[in-house]
Amino acid sequence: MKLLEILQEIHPQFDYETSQDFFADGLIDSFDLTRLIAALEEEFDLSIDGTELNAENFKNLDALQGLLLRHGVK
Amino acid sequence: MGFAAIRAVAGYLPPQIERNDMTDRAAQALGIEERHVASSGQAASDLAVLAAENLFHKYPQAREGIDFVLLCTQQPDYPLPSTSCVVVERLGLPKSAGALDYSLGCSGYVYGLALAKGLVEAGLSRRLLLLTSSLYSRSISSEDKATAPVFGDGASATLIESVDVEKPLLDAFVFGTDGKGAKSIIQEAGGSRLPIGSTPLERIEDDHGSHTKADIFMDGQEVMLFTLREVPLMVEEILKKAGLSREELSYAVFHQPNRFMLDYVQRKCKLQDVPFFNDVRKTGNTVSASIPLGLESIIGKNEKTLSRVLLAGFGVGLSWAGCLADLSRMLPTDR
Repeated sequence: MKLLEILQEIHPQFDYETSQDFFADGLIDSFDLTRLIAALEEEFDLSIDGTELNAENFKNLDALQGLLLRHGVK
Repeated sequence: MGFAAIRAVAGYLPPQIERNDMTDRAAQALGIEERHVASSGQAASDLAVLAAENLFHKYPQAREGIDFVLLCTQQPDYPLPSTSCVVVERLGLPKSAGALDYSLGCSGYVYGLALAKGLVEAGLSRRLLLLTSSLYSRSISSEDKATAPVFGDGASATLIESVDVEKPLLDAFVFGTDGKGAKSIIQEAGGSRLPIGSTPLERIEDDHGSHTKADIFMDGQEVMLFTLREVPLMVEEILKKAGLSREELSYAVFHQPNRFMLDYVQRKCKLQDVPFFNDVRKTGNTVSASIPLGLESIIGKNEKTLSRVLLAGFGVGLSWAGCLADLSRMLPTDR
């Protein structure tokens, strides 16, 4: 899955598949979050703006998949 | 007709320096090599007065006729009286001068320009000194490994007065406030909500390290998301109000939180082709002083072309403010 690859490029050593809250589990800090947003925008040719820039949308794989789905990425 | 104009800008950085460990991944991303830190004996008025003295030294014509002082700080000398009253006395300004403190962080400089414009263009002040003074280092736990490497201390002085021109020189102001994010950057203890001494201050251990409620706490993720969410919208609104395209901007000087965040904010604001100030290497995040320190850096080099400078401040509050400034009416400098 491309999404998992993007996350693992940020920190290959972390298990993003089982975490329900990347922030609480210390898998993503503010720099990683920006890298993640930039990578998603570049990889899927989309722009994440406005109210979408909410921590809930980035907290786990399900939330990220939901965000991508809303942008038409399957 | 008279419109308020920025006539002089100068900064002050305390001599004491703290260096960040640049082998650290986060420090590299921040792009902050060192920060100036106020000595234990220095208060907000000390930094502000030294910034004003630097201004008078650099622009000898700036000293006379100041009739109003606006001072932005979140570390006032005392809970009362206002620090601006202390500054009026220390600068030898007349008793007829007005003096007003206001408490804002990273949006404070643009707010100050708006207040100054109002006072000057309403005829309530002829020559106004806008001061910002930030000593965040005083209230950050050295054991907070996420926040301590970010903030440096500093102050600024800006002279604003009426200039006889046909159109505004400070224009297209946009403001924003989101109090829901009040706890994203907060110093909980020390105000009337939680006075120091009212309750024992326990040490809080988290992924930042260790701090108490008397220390400034910053939730980096929330601040990053807030910045990416609101600043591009603010920039669009300023450009729309001013009727300008990005290509017509001479420069963009934003609040300087850290290099990494600014790089991405520049991209989100589609300002890659605009001269964009991004330099925190030797100062760190100096809060309300960061925009004027940035202006001071570019003014000497680019004065003739600085007629459309986009300013944007954003941070604690959460609060944001931006405007367009024409810096082509500066006083002559002595150096």
